[in-house]
Amino acid sequence: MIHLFEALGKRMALDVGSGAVLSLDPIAYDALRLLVEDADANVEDALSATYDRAEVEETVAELRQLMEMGYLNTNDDYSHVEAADTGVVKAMCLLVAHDCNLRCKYCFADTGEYHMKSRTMLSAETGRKALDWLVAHSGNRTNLEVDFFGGEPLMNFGVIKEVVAYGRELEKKHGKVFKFTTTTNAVLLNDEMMDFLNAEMDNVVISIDGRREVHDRMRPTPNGKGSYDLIIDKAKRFVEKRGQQRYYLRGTFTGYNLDFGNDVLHLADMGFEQLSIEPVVTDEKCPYAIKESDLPTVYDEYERLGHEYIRYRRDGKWFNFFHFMVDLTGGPCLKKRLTGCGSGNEYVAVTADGDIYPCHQFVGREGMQMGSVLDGSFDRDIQHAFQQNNVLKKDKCSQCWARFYCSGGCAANAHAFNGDIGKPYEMECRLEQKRLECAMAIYAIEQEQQQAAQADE
Amino acid sequence: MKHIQTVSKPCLNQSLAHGGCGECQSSCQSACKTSCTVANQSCANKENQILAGRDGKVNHSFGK
Repeated sequence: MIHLFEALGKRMALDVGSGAVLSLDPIAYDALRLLVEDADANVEDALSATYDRAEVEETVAELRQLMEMGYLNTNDDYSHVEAADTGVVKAMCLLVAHDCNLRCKYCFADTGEYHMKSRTMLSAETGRKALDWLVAHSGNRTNLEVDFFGGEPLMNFGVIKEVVAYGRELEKKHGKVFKFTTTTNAVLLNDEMMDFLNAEMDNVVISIDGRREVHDRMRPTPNGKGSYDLIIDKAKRFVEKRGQQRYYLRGTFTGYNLDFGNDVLHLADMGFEQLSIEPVVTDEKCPYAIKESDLPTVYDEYERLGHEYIRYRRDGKWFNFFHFMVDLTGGPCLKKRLTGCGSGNEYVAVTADGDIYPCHQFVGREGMQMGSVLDGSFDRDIQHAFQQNNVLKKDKCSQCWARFYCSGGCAANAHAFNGDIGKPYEMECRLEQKRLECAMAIYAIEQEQQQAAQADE
Repeated sequence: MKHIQTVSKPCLNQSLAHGGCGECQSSCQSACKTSCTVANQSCANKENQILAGRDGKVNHSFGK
């Protein structure tokens, strides 16, 4: 399969089977389009009215050469590849606080309650048992990930410290490496917490939506006031203390701010370098939902942001946008691309009560509890079902050019919208495809800029 | 080539020979938490990266 697309003014081709990415001039783009439709097409005759025939012949020869080299039209059937069913769990989202000090309107976790009608905190004892459980189920994996999540995890900071200290003991005892991360709204962030997080956390995600008015509209405090002014200076100070390393500012955009590129640029202008602003996932009937009819606007905004992104990075205001990152040469191996995020298989969420779910998004959903770290129970049948739910097994994905880049999408969204972890959520697919096209075009443009700069030297 | 520029060479099939160690980060733990984005994750196995002809760069600082 070959995917031809235009993004940020570039004509591009992705060879799905090999992962090769090509930048094409107008003749090559038109010629390849004809060959994709019909491998035996007489391209020379078809295009000689539009282009110089000799140029067309030269282009077709180049395309044929790339096919022979294995850059185009390669076999994309990887059905023979088996992702091993090891039963290993290596990553855990630990819900240390089922409570929150904000009342974000789009919160999937029901501001910490996870639709379970109780606001509770993880105890240190349950936290330790969660780490014991993870070590016991991690097989020969060395690197184990634990994300302190909520609600708002810093509301239970003392327990985070105890769990981390316990994790460091386990590392020595079992030859493991814990990579701890924290996802926080930064409201409570103080100097003591900053120093602890900077010493112990492999990554820290701070939730902020962008411009003050955008952020305050969706992320109010319990008394209805905005939270932007409560956090922005703390976030800046924290990131400076962290040396701009291993963090993300992560925000959500909604139907209220389809000009979300301005939110990304606002954060970049504030000096933050690692940014992720994602589309809200919610029912289309919600007033702030991104609707199917909004997609052309959102596509245009990704294009506009892409142009600005290149300009900022070229002109000394470098920042990284999570969804424009694509590692075309050093990315994950094919087996990783088949299995995706690993939810329910290699990755689980554990609640304050010690209950195990396939991931944080599944918490509280009926029939999705997999066991408990308190009694050691773990439903291997559910784990196996998630392990089997790889991209090769999803009908819709088998026809999609993006399948080795999104790996079949979010199982929780598929379950929420289609009642089946194997049926991806359409809006997510369409946005992911657009972001990938932009990411590949940005990659190509920056590569050209780099080559031009080197040629000038 | 005059009409076509290679932005990136074939890499998927090659990674089959050396991949699958499972030591890499779970993608949802890095930043997203609501959307699955896998292809921007980096391979955790430097030896495999070298074997597969990759440069092992840290994607977070790409282009900086």
